[in-house]
Amino acid sequence: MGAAVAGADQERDQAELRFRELYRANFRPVQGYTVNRLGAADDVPDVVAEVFTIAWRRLGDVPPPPADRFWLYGTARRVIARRHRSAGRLRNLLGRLAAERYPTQEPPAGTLDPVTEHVLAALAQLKATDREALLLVHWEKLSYAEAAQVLGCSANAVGIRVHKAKARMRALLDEETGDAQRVAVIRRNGATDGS
Amino acid sequence: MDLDTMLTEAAPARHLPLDGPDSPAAVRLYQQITAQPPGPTRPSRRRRFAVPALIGVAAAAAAAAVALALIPGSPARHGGSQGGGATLAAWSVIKEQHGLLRVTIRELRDPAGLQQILRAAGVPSNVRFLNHDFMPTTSTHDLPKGCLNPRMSDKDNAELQGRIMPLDPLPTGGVAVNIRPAAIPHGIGLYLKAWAANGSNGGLSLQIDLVQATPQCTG
Repeated sequence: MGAAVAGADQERDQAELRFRELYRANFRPVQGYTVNRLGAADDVPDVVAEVFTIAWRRLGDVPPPPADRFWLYGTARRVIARRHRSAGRLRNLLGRLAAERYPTQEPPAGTLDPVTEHVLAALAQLKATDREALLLVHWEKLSYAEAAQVLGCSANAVGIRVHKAKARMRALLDEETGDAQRVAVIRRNGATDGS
Repeated sequence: MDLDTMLTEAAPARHLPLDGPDSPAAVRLYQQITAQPPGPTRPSRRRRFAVPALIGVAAAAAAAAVALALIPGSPARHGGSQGGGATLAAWSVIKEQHGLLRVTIRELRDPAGLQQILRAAGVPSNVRFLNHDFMPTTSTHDLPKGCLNPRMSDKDNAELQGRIMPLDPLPTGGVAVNIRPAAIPHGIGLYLKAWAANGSNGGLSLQIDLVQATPQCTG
């Protein structure tokens, strides 16, 4: 009985030490991933909390570093997808990012970044799987092989998705805004898009 | 500007401040998560994504309480304030180095005795052992009659809890909490509530709130 109790205690010690290292090394990256997907939304802390709660409850399933971060990203991706299952909701979230960065209705001169706004709007129109591959590579700075671990596909598939996403992005940006610099000038003059 | 640069510049996390793992909110979250018993440390056969119950971390209320999970029956390493010899104490209060008290709870017996020992050690406290399951909460209203929340912001509350109940050295084993009596300001006390959590193989949970130190609440 005593040995069993001591064994359980030791197991808990090991679990907590491992989780502590996981938490310290990955808190900021997971928060960054969540902010990159949700902006400054109110539910960012809840998503981060849920991701690490899942990790705590499934510690045995979390791979050792550096793959643990990709596991956490994949978990965060599913948590966010469940919370915002509707494609329309996700488009709204992505489209809202620029507004959240500039919370006032009339931002001070020089703070508005229409290029970024159009990039975010174009991202929202991508196919979800292509967009996630693109963002993992460009925002989370993962290699194709690392992104493949997050997405549960092959590195080759990630490469194809990124290629498709970038081609679509270029088409969208050209189609909707023409030259990005021109958009910036138009905005500074106070005209609406397309004028 | 090429597409790669535009994409990189558009990342929201580049423009929004991120908390570090030592921020009060991050420390609070860590404590809330590890308040629960850990899952199995061996890989599960189930590969599908499991959706756990939300733990409900509200940013504004997150500073309200510290919760720690305790595994019952953990051996007392330095004896206990109750029981003796090889008998495990229901709880123990051990004076450690650097002015720390290490409080360990193993069984929900004699809360009045624990409260008396803590008060004698310089910790204004109110100790309750519940005989039913309880969902850990960050509500600031869940205090016993006669106890009041301290008048401070959530941020100050969280930071003060961090000073009073330091995680370094980490009270490993989930059987203990560190308390530094010297860090407790005049007029502040602790409300400790322990209960047996259902579905955790008999594990105990402990939630600690800062309260106003009054004769009605903390003696």
